[in-house]
Amino acid sequence: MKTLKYITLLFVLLLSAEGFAQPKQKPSDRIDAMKVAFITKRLDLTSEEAEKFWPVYNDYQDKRDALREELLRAKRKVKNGDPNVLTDADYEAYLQAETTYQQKDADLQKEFLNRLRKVLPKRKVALLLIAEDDFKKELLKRMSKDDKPKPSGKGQD
Amino acid sequence: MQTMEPELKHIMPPVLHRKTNVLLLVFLLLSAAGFAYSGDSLGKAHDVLLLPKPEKAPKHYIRSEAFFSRYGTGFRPAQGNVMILDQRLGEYSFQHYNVGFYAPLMTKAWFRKDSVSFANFHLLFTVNSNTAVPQFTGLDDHRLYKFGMGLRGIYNTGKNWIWFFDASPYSVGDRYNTRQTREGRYASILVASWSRSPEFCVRVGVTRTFLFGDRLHLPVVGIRWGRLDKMYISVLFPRQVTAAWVINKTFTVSAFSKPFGGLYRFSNSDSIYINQNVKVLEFGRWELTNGLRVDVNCGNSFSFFVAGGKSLNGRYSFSSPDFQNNSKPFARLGTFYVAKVDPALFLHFGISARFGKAKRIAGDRRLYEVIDMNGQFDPGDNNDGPGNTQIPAKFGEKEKLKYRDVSDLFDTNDLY
Repeated sequence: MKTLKYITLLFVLLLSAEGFAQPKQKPSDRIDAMKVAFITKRLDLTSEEAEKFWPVYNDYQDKRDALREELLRAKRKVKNGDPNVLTDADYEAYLQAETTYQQKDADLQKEFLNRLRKVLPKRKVALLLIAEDDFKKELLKRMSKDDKPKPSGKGQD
Repeated sequence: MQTMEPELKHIMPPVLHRKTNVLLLVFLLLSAAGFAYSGDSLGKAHDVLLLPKPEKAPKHYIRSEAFFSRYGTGFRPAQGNVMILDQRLGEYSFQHYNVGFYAPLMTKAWFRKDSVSFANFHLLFTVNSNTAVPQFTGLDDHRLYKFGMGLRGIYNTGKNWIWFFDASPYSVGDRYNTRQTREGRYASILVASWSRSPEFCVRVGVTRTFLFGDRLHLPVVGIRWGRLDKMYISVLFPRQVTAAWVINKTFTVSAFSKPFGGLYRFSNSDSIYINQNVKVLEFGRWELTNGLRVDVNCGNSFSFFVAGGKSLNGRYSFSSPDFQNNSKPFARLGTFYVAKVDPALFLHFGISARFGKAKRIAGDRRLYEVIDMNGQFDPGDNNDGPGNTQIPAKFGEKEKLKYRDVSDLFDTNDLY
């Protein structure tokens, strides 16, 4: 029973750590769930199409995220770094990262679209690209009015 | 007042008896405080031009999860096949504390030769520790422990089949006499799941389980109608029958009927078995729990459930090594005492926490099946897991988003 109690204590400690360690957890699950509903409706995906489409789409998004994180790392260093301390090498690293990102992103999209052509009619592939833009607009529209950003300086801190 | 104390002892969970457990409460409050401030508007989430913090790309589709649950019934009469033991043991109740954990060790994902079928393999490490406390009015409490670590693999072929394997070696014993009662055991399960649509799946397999108070090798046969992220009915022998309704991202309500039991080592210190040289007995128990369960998902990382209902067909048994040699792999236990227990109300509740981030699974029905199988077959052969906490619920039409939900999803170019 003692061991169990210690395990429970450890568990609760982990919970505490989790609560504090991730003050701004990205609620991407909700956005993804909303995206599934939005794109399924917009593209009028059949269940056969959906079961092939979502794994391909999710894999593409994951790879794109990983790519974007790489770029962000370099970008943050330049944006947040002290200009007196940053060297030409740091700026060059960022420029390289930006170029690499553009290239890899284009390759990724090419591979993704090739895969999509095998699982969806071309019309739906084209519609997807448009639907993705519309989804972002839908996100902004869906935000509750009370929670829109306030002008800087007011309501902050 | 003196007569009240023992009654209270039975009603209150023993974890609340001791002062040291105030620590638990303090940490729980701390956790609550931590969560209350997460994503608070006092943060910098409203600065649209702030670059989001780069994060490590997730490697796995299943997040690590830790869970704790507590099950208990009140005292009820039991009728056995040996009158002298009936009188000796008296009424019976059962308390159960369960702690479990699983974490992905390795995930491999690839496109098959057709370049669109997405196959993946998940290897997970599992830990389970639980304490079963069978309480008899005529005996002191025995705290029967079980601790194990195991591995499980799930292979999603990317077509219609998903394979699941879990190996759970563990040790059991009685705290009353740990040295002489300790023994190693092994439970396992192999299941293949076949589905052609999100609304239907069939599962077949085999399991070596102690869930019915004996070592049994049973077939696994199951069928499910309905979507895992919406509403479904699942019949899975020998695990459970469930009808679940995922109301929204926060609430899931389900009606269930499932066996709950185990085979434990029990010290013969009370001389239940007449031969004093026998130091350890096998204590088997099982009951069929029927009830309602409410799962509450409090955000991405934390959830809890409360279940209640009636326990039926309860029975427990004692057997001893010298009563019948059961060393053969498929031999059944020879019991010298079996008692049927009256139905009783039970209460079952639990909490679980998920750690880290996972890759996207939204809309991928095969990965939903993978996660469902991981949830249905809990670590440690207890039939007492956290449930399907990682399958995203369908987004409700009326749900509103908050600015912090979307602030880091836009590039500045999107704003023009």
